[in-house]
Amino acid sequence: MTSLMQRMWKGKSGYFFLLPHFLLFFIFFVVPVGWGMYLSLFEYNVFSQTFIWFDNYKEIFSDQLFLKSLANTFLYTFGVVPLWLGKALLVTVLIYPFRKSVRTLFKAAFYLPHISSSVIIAMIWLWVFNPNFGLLNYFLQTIGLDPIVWLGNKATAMPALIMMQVIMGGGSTIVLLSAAMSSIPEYYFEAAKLEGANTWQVFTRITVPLLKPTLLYAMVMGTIANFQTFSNIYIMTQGGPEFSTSTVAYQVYETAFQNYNLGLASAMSMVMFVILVGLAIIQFKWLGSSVEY
Amino acid sequence: MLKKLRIFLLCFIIVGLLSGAVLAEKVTITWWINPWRIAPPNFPADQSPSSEDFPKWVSEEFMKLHPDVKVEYVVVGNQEYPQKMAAAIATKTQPDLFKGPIWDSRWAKAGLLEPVNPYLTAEDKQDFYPGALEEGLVDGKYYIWPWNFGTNGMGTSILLYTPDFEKAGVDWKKIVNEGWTMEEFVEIAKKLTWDTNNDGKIDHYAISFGAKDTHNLMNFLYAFGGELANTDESEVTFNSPEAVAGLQYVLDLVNVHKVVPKGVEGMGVYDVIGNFHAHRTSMGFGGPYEIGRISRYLESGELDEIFYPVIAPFPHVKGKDPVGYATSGGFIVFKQRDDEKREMVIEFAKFLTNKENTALLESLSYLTARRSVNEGLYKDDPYMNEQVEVYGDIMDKYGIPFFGSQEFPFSQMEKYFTAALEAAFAGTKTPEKALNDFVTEANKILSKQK
Amino acid sequence: MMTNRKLNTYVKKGLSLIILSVLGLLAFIPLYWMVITAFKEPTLTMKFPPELFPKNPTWANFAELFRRKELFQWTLNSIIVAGTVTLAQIFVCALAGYAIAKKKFPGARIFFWIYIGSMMIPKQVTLVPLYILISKFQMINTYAGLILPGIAAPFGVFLMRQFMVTLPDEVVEAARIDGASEFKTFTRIILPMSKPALAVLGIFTFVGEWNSFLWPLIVTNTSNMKTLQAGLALLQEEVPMKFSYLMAGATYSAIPMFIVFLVFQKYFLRGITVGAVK
Repeated sequence: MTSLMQRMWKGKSGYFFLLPHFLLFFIFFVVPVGWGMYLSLFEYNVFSQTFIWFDNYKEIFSDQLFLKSLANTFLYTFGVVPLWLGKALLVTVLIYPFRKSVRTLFKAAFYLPHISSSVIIAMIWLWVFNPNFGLLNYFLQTIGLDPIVWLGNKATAMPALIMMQVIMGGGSTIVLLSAAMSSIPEYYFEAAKLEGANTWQVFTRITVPLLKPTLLYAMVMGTIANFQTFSNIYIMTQGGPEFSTSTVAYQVYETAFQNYNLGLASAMSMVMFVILVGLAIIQFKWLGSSVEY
Repeated sequence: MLKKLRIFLLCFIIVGLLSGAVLAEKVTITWWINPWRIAPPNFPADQSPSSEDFPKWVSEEFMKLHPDVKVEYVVVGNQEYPQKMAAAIATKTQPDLFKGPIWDSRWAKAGLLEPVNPYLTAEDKQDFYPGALEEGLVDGKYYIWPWNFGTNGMGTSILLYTPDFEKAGVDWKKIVNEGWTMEEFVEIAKKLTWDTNNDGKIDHYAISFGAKDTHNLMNFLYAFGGELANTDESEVTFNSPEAVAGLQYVLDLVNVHKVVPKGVEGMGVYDVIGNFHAHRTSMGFGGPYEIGRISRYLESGELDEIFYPVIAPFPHVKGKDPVGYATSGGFIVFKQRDDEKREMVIEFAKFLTNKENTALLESLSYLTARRSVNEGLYKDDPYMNEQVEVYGDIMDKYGIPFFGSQEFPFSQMEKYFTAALEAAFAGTKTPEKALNDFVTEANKILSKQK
Repeated sequence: MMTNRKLNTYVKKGLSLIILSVLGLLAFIPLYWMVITAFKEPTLTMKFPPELFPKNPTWANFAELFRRKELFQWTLNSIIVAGTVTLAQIFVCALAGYAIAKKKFPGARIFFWIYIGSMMIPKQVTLVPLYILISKFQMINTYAGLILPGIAAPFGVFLMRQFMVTLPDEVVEAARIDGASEFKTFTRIILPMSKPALAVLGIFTFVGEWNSFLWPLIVTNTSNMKTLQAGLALLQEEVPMKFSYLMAGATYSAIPMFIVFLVFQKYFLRGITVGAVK
């Protein structure tokens, strides 16, 4: 015990440096999270608060709409993230041989959508998908295809949202991957080439393994971000048609702020949290055995 | 390095100061309103008012009358309204008075609201439409200070673009005066569907619908005799054969008679309005407000040509009356602890809903909740005067609420209703199955309520 | 042989360029669409087929936008909020990241995992309780209410820790041997070495705060406290169909970010490169 105290005293400057952020973090993040967990055990609406143990959790797991939203969220996340990573990896590898200025140009171009707000992006795409005046149907018609009601059909709405996210996203991953890639010593590639490895072999045996930590990081971050997708649903589909794009984050919002059921909403967000942690652990285990964090 | 340190220190000081800055308490009336682009008196005619202009003006006017009171208004967007109100009530930071797209009768039941009854004068009671007062009726007490009567007229009436009707040889005056049956509607709609540029593709339709446009579609379900719920609201009944027939009728307009542009499942009310404004359809929906929208859009540059549609009733089933959605809205006062302040807040509610201020709704082409005010509206505009008369007639004779009483939780059911319409128009479910599924979910919500 | 290989390289590069351009254009077209729509006559947005190149560009939408008196206040609020959060975050996250990366004290790893774990917590979880908290502190509709939760975000600590872990221990040691105080070591050695990472964090934070939507929407009440994004949402409700006007607003709010990005982009790219050297 004393040795712990001693070590703590010895490392006091560490606590001191940590304090300014951790204090704010504790008040404005940890406390609300704890409060949210507590709320999830209540029948909590504007008028009454009743402690009901785990009834909220029982309720959401028997709620078809929530289960469907959960499935949709998985579909969306697992649709977007691999395509995102694939796109980012492809772009990174393709721009690598170019001059620095060209690389910078492309990195900047791909990053551009990231610095626009998701609300604005969603507003633009809503117009792109518009069945009557939209850009996409215009292109379809110029190549002789029939217009599609992209966001009105439950078969196309989710793919449309995934497509939009993949097209607009991946920019930060490209920047990260490019940075990681340029830190791979040049002679790795040269040595491989001298040994007669072809492009594909270089890619699978050198590039990908060396980029693995960055890829893992991008994957976990991408999963977290896309699992919470909200503003494009809120603005573009409101979960429709026929709930085919309803996500958990959207259900949380609707339950809390439209039906005023704060307890139930908290329970939903806790489920979301547990799943995210689970996913992250799986991803770290699966890919991360050699990654030092 | 010192310079950087200074910057960091500075930013900390800023943060500290800002966090310390707590608003000084003062006796103020806070009120919320959703965006209403009403022009206050003497507003420059060549500009279109923003949502801030009316609340700002009316707050300042009230402060002029009562210099000891501070009135603070907040314009809250329609979409953010529910969440802000929920958060505000949960944290007891609700406004003193509000007008918004939502309110919940449970607030009245929980004693959060001030009833209007003690403050209504006999004259007021005469002047307000009974329907407008009943909109706020919970457990025998009124909770709404009536302000507007009817909304934009969606689900209440249809707008006819008369040049198209004349071109097709249809007597639109007869429709306005005598109405039209469902069968007549189909025949006329067929005449209004054509190929403008002769490329072999239909590009002009009679009318358009959107699955997310609840009001206008609901009209047909009611017109065929469907009812959202039974009389004591113990059960949702919108899957009755009559309601199904109503939905089937609209589906036939799209798929069989082909007088409606495809893509209903993906459209909302603004797509429908856009089609009408672009003359892609000969009929739109709504009342005087929607006519006013045309000139507003012209002013703000979204439309390049004015046109003057006329108001007509929705089609009716032979032997039955047409129906029209009737509603009203007004200001609601939250419970006040302080007697003195309560008097002031009520005073302000009275001020907002007095004859002069209610009459300002004219700039939005809204009817007001006061009979005496409506008589004076649009006096020097014969065209508008006539439209308002037809509209008022429809509301008066055929007006019914669409969404049940204040206690009926339609707001929670709405998403299932929209999903049913989407399924029906996308063809993934038959209308019967779609409405059955809606009723199943809606009844679950209803039983939870109890 | 040589020329053959050269040719091969050219073909490869050409092919790469084509693929890159297509992918890049796909992402670029919507942004282009936003900007040109902002310069279109309002009536043209409802025409089909859409005009891909505006024939008669107009400033009318922007002129109308600037007639909104609140626009200036909204912009100012966005600058104040995003600026303060960014400066404060850079400082406190650098401190905390340094502590976790380089300081040896019991619990350092636990703190690190708390921060990582908290990044997985959906924003929805904290939304309601945070609002209740902020209102208890009487910070609704204040800059403090807008700013403080932003500074508390965990991502920056994670980022700084990831960067600082790559700084050689020897440098810190050397400073200590030279007798520099803890804080001096931090400000004179660590911060300058971390400049690229600070720039990355700064840009991430500034852009994120500038574009932040849901929280400002909830925590502000009066128009004079709204940020640009929350203000734009209000505009969208007033004129839901006036697409050109909305896109003018969107363009106006996006342009500062484009400028920030272009100016700092060098730092940004270099920052991560430096961080990757272990």
